[in-house]
Amino acid sequence: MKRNEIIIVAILLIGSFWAFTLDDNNRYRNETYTPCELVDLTAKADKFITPDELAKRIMNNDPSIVLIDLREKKEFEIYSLPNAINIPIKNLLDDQFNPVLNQNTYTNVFFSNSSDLASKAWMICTRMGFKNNYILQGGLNLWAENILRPTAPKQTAVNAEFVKYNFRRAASAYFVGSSVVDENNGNNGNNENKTAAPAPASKKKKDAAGGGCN
Amino acid sequence: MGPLFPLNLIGEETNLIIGFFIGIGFGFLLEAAGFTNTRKLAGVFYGYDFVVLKVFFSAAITAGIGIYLLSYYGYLDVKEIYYPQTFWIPTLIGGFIMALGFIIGGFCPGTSICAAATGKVDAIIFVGGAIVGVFFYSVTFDAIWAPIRDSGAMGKVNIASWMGISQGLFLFLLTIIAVMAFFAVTIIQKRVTSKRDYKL
Repeated sequence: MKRNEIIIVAILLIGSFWAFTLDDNNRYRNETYTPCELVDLTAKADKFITPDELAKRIMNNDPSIVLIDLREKKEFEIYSLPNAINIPIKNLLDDQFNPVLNQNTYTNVFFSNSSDLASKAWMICTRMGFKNNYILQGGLNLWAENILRPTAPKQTAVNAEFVKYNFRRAASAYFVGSSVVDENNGNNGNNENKTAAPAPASKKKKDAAGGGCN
Repeated sequence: MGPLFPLNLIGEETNLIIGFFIGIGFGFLLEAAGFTNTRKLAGVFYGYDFVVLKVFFSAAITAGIGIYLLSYYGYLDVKEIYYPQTFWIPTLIGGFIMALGFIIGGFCPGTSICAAATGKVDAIIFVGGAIVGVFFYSVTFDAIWAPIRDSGAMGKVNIASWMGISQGLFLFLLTIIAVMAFFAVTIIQKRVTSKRDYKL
């Protein structure tokens, strides 16, 4: 064999050996994790965001949070979270939504009525290698239960429960407005709103302090 | 990222223009490498020149490795690349007829077009024969060829998955086979050419 033939043969051998060492039948295009890696990730990842945490972040006007409603357009139009965008799960991988999902800046929170659609979306997006995906724990059902219509803890509950309850009542007032109904006594909650709205008030104070001498 | 045309990353016009320039390059290289010479192609069968075998085997492996690596690193979607379904009986018959065509006519379909473009009369006749053959096939398809055409259907088969081994291993084994074939044909060529003086 001539010298250049030997060189070509050597290159081919190196190339095919490279392909051989890379071999991994489980790895497909666009899917960053193998099924095994995904199982590990599913078990480890802190992928849920609780309604309380989400409410806090929305009330603090967290600019990094993107709310993604996975239900159909009809349901989305009837009710959704403030400033949520609608990506029906069947359109999740449409090109037009790729910039929303495939990014590394914002925190995407998936939700639907419960958390199963969101879990599916989380799985798909994580497998595609998209970053910062979260699931709203319990979906809109738990959101309504915890934030929109909070129930008072028992009198014997620990203090933390009352703090949480107070926050939820404040959040309820924030999201529903003044027409929130106090479930304890069935009255309109207006008279208790003052005491029940510590979160926005404390935020104001903080802002003033942060603003310096003004 | 790829393939460019099936994923609509380029339009049909751009696709045709790119194809046109690749075609020019392909034809130029076939002519430059002497593949339009009928004796070169026939040499594989007589044992005095195996360049055609070496070149096409290397080209197939290069393309295989390239597609595998591009696909592995996410630059190419293999699912979007067209490859036909396998019908092993007509493929076998077609291969046999094609080999007869190679050895009798001295051209393969690609080289015959290149040679015809250079004005070789035998190549022009060969291309004419091919056109008549295609016409004859299409006219008599329903009457004669349809049952043969559909026999031995295996669906879309990837040879590596058909053998139950991984793509990378298949490529590696194929390269080993190719290298062994290159050595073997080099020895054969030396022996044949030492007996008789073949001139291309």
